[in-house]
Amino acid sequence: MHENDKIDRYFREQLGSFEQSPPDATWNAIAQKLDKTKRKGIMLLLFRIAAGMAILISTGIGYYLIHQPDKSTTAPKVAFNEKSAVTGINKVSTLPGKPSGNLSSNQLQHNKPAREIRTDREHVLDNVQIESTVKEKPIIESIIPVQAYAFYGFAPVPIEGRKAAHLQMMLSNDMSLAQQRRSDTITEEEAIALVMAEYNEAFSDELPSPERKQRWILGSEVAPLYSSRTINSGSLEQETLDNLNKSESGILAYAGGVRIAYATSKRLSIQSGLYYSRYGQKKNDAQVYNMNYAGSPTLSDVDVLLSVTNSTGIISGSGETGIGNTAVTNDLGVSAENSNHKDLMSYNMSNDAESAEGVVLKQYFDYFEVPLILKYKMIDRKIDVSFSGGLVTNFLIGNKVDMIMDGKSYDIGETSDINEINYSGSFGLGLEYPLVTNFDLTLEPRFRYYLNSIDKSSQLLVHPYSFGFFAGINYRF
Amino acid sequence: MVDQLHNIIRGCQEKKPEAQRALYDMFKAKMFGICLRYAGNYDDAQDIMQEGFVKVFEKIHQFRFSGAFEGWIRKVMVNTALEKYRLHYRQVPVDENTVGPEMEEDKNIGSDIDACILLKTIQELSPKYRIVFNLYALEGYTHKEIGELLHISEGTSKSNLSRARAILQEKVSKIYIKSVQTY
Repeated sequence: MHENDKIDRYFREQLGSFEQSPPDATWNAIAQKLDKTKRKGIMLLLFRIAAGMAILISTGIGYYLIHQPDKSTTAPKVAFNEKSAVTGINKVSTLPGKPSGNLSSNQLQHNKPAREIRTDREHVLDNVQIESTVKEKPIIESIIPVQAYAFYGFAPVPIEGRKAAHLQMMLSNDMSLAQQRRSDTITEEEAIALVMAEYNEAFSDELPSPERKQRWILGSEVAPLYSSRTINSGSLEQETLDNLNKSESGILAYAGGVRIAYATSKRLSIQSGLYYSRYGQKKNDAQVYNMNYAGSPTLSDVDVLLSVTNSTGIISGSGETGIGNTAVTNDLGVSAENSNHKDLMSYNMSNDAESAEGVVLKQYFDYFEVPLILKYKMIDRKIDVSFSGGLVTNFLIGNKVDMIMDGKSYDIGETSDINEINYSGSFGLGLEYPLVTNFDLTLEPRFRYYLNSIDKSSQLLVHPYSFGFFAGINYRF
Repeated sequence: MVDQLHNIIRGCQEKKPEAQRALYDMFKAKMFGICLRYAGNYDDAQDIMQEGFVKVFEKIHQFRFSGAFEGWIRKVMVNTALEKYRLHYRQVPVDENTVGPEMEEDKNIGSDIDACILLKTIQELSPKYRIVFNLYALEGYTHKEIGELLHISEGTSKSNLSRARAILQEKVSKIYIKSVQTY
């Protein structure tokens, strides 16, 4: 071995401090790469913003297209097929001194060509069909649906079967009465209102719920969530990424906050708010060593020295854990980027058999979040079903690293080198159930994915994601 | 001098081009010397140098001024060389159980062989021998650490080192004898 040391020493002495200037072209290549990296980062950020905008715009356009036909929904013109039922109505429609031609201009404006109306109103009555002209139109035919809906503030709904029959019966009987009363004081509108009121009373349990006039929503919600991250890199080997994925996993965390929403229409609302979320991940392959700091004045006041190769940021110690004389690492031989490694390698370490097993490092990241979400109600029933999507701005307000060892948790430091402002995309499928007046219970599975890498390094792109089950209460006003 | 270096580092952390150039000029000769030892040829050394310095500038915000900067930048260069080695030579079969011949005492090792010639002898080693020899003999890593770095066993690391030593010994001896004969 002596000879081996000799050849080693010989080369060390001759080449240990060997220096040679590189060609000038080397710097030019480095400068070009740096410039390219900078541009790539800017382009990536712009692309993600554009992608987010595209989602919002496409959602908006989708909503607009879906709802456009509703704007043409005006007064349907209806006539009863069955002559027997028409009798009474015709009496009303041809009230003395009130020929159909005397319809008010307001009423006439509601009368649109049958072709247009059919598309919106085919379902009005089983035995009611649409006419194509205003001429000889009975007043009731022109007015009932629109005036009644407008009067009661209901959304137009199909009236079928038993309800239709009952309505015809009422119209036959009550409109005659209305006609009689009309000769004294009652107007056509009042007559129709009387009919519809009776109808409503008879079918109050089957009527659709009144359209919600409240446009503002104030709510709060909380969620348990699972958070983890994806990693990719343009320069690191796949093997390195695989090793990181094997040694790291997600954690259960939580989120909660208040939201305020404004319903721009019956189905679409836009919402924002302020949320607090905790995300994180854990490192499962950490090892703990006892360190001998003897003769180390610079490290004598450090009780935990960290040198951990991980995907997200740099795990750095606070030096105030109280554990004492301990080194935590998952790889004694790597981490050139971690300057602690140099210190760690310089001191004697003895593997602590008791605490070397089952040591887990948990990285927690705390955020304030401000979302901008579009919510579209796909099903509007007693239990509403909505799809929501949008962008969230995440402000990092704190982070910490806990070490779980022997069943105990130690706050050993924090993660540095991570971005403080991030952007994420959010998608959810929500259920809404009315509890009491103006209060709704909400449940929403929600997926969130960070659009930018939270790690400042451009070498490793770390995108956290979370899946949470949000439950909360809404107050409408 | 230390203050000047720290100012340059801070400038690099703020991504100032003039600071980056100053840092490069300050360390380029030392770092290229390291790159030449780990690379098989001049071109590969340039590649390692470029990638290494790009990493240095990308990661320099992580430097906390708690240790020597030269050690830090040196480690980045070495790791870059190792990544390149892993990338290009991971398919190279490893002789797990082959232990090289023990070194025979050789009094011919002199101190007057030019460093460039010694460098060439290292570059001519096969990559697996060259990397292990560099890490062990010139950087001071243990076989256990080398095994973890290169994902090989300690035994393989020892075997590769032994073989590297034998080859170097032989070459140095020949160079020495040749130089003596010319006089």
